[in-house]
Amino acid sequence: MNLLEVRNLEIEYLTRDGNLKAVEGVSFSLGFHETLGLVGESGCGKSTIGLSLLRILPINARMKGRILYKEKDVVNLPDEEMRSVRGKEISMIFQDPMTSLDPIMRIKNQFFETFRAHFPKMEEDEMFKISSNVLKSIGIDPSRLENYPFEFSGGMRQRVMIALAIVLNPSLLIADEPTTSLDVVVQLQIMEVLKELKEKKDMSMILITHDLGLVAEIVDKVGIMYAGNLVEFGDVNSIYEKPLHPYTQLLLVSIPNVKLEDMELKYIKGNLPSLKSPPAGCKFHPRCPFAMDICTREDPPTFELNGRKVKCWLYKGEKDGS
Amino acid sequence: MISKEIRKGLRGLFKDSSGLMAVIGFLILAFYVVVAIFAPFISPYNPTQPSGPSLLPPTISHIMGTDNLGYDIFSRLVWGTRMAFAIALIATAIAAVVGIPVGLLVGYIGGKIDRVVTMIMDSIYAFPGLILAIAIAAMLGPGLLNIAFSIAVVYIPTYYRVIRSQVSTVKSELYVDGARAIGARTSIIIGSYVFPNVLPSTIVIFSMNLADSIMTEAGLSFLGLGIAPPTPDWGYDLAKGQQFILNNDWWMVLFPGLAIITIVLGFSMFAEGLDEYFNPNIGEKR
Amino acid sequence: MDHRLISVINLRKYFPLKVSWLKAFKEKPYVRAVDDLSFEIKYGETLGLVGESGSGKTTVGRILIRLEDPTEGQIIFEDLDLAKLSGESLRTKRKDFQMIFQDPMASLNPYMRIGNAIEHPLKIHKMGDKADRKARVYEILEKVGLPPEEFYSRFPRHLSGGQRQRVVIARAMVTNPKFVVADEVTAMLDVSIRSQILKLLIDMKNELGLTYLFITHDLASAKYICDRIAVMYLGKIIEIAKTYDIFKEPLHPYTKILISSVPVPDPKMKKKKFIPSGEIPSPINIPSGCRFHPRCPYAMEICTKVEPELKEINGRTVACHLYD
Repeated sequence: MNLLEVRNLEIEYLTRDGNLKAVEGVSFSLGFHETLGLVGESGCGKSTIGLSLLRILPINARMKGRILYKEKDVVNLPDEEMRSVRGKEISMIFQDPMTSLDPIMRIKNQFFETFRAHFPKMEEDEMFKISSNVLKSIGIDPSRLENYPFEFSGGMRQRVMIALAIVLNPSLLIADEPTTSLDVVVQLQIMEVLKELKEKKDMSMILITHDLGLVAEIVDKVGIMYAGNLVEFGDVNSIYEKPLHPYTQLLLVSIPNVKLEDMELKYIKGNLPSLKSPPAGCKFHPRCPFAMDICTREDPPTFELNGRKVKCWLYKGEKDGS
Repeated sequence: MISKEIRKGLRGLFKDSSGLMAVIGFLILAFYVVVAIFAPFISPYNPTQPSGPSLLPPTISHIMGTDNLGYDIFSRLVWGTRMAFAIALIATAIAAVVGIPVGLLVGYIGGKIDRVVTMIMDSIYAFPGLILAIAIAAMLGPGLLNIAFSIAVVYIPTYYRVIRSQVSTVKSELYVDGARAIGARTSIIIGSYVFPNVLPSTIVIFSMNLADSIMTEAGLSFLGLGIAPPTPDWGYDLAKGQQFILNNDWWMVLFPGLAIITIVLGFSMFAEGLDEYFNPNIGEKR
Repeated sequence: MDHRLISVINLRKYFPLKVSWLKAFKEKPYVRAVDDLSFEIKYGETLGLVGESGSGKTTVGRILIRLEDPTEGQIIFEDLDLAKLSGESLRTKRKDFQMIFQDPMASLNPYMRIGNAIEHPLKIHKMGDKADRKARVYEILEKVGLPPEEFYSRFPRHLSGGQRQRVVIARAMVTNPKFVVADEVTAMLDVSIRSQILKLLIDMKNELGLTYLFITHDLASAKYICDRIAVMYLGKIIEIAKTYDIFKEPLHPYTKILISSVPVPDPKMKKKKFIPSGEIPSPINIPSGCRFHPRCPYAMEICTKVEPELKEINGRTVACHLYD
């Protein structure tokens, strides 16, 4: 049994000028104590997937397909049951730690609120004790429970967010661009915190990010998304060593690095497709250096190769082991 | 402002279909515009001359009855539409012409001038609108332009406040920095970069203020400070009808009252619909 | 021959803090955003200004093109002190120096068509007649990779972030400026678009013979475009060197940290990174001595007391007591 099984997930946003397909037929699974990096650029649908797992999509979103969490179908779970899943089973941290914390509530009380939502009868002493321990484990002095959010720096605030998210021992933590609004050095500090969590806690994680480099050393599996599609999925080493999809390949070489022998700037031509009027066939074909005739006409299916998945016509007919 | 309350209620009523609301508002207004333009053809009688017995209840020949002087109420309402529109438009236009440029300039320059002008505007704003209009109208005496002017003074601060606060956000936008960086003069920055970006909100205030000024005008006329009789005017007719209500002559109050209510509702719905249009709540989200 | 385009001499920018007037009697607190900065930019050079948020790097850029007034100091542009210019003489001089901003979504007037937005600087500086200007706009649109027929009369809202940044670049370069400040131009763009824009900046520079100040928090992207890099921390330059030298052998501990904080897309490289504790302090309470000492793994006693000066040691320029 997997912790999470996503099958043929489709999400559409209804807007004034027509429907936008944000996620198209995405399937993947996540095991217990496994970390997945969901990587892609803006509009690729990665954040939408994150929200859908908790069923907190905006009201104009329509969801189809199945999301099996511990064999329960999140898509059709009654609201009451879904509420008990949120925070306790699956929890989430967001990009901007400032807007995710209530600015006029002491940190302590934000922890208590979280407890009360799931354990109404818990004693304050006990809540306080657990909160202190969690904060300590994440590198914040427990005395700061009495502080307000504005008394924390950006990095510390994100640590508080992480502590709040894991205080109920969820089985799955979703982090949506957790370091994007932070400075480079602080970004690394937060990644270290997440890495430690991964090692110490019995918890699965989904890291949603645009930065292939940042998640390389922490995730077990990687899913690459482009224009609502999961174009490549596999274990981290094989993806970074031998990326299959042309998008992944180009993305990897176009990340600026600090190596002095590598002074040539590589890039992917063209623009990201619009979700309103996406190109026919494979969504990546207008930018793809290997585009073939079929790519312009037909959307490729997902091919399986050595336990890896790739949605690209180049791999049609390739057998396992090639 | 009364129209603000009306708008709040309308928003609850129509929720997601702001388009429908704007359309209904537009239809009501279009109806009144047609009535105003074709008043000579629509009204069956001369509105300023007796056309039958006085205090006649609604009948076939006088569908809204007659007043104490035997004037046909329907004809008076039809002609009164012109007056309502004229005063509302002139008053609102004066308020806009003064309030918008002052708001733009003061908001962009900021500093001490801003503090002084804002204080003056706030003190006008804090004054109850009708009372201020009464005071000015009493000072200036009757007449269409005088009435329009006394109403305009009440609404200048509405423009000023909205424009000024918008300008102070817009002026810190990067595109304004960009305009400064390419060497644009202050007048060009305000005209081409700031003004277009605050314009949508002025359109909404404009239609909102039209509704308010019709109410205020009716109020002034009701108190005898409006247009000199016998010029047809809804507020004046309403005031006159009120004297006869104990007499059970309900038609003299009901029809002018209905006219005022529906036109204000029309403007308010239109304004609210426009507002929704310019500030879309349901947008694309990812 | 003098190859210098700009010399900045003892530049300071202090922002007064708003405090209640009761407290203001005691002392006037300031945010020392830029604190005694001196550097030069040569003709045709790209100088990188690298630092975290709060280092004052953007403020430096805004002062150099006079969107902000300096509190003190000189900005010698060719033979002219820009810090002393104001009013009409500053306004007409602006065609020689331009800025590209961080957020392409916010740096274009939403109500101005692309063609008009790019033409506007030409109009303001009365360059050419109507036909000349249109031809020039077409030419520059072509250069930044936006087909003019398609983009000339569109509004910014119809463009993606990358396309808008191209428009902003076109607008900045349409008057043939000598000097361009590029402030975090790729920070808000998608990863696959970033390198495109960097490439465009490099191409434009080579073609138009420009001089850049390239402001960024990302050392990795600075590597491809900069000839020299100055690293800023809390309003001061702490190291300045040729790009090659900075990456080959960073001297200042902070520079080392910045370089090692660039993520490497390699899951096997699990080396222990050099991560300092803490975050950049507020520029209101600047630490005594060396500004970096509370976070520095090599801090010595002297660092807490004496502020190191930026000086030349063996051909390199650094402000750190380790090299005294």
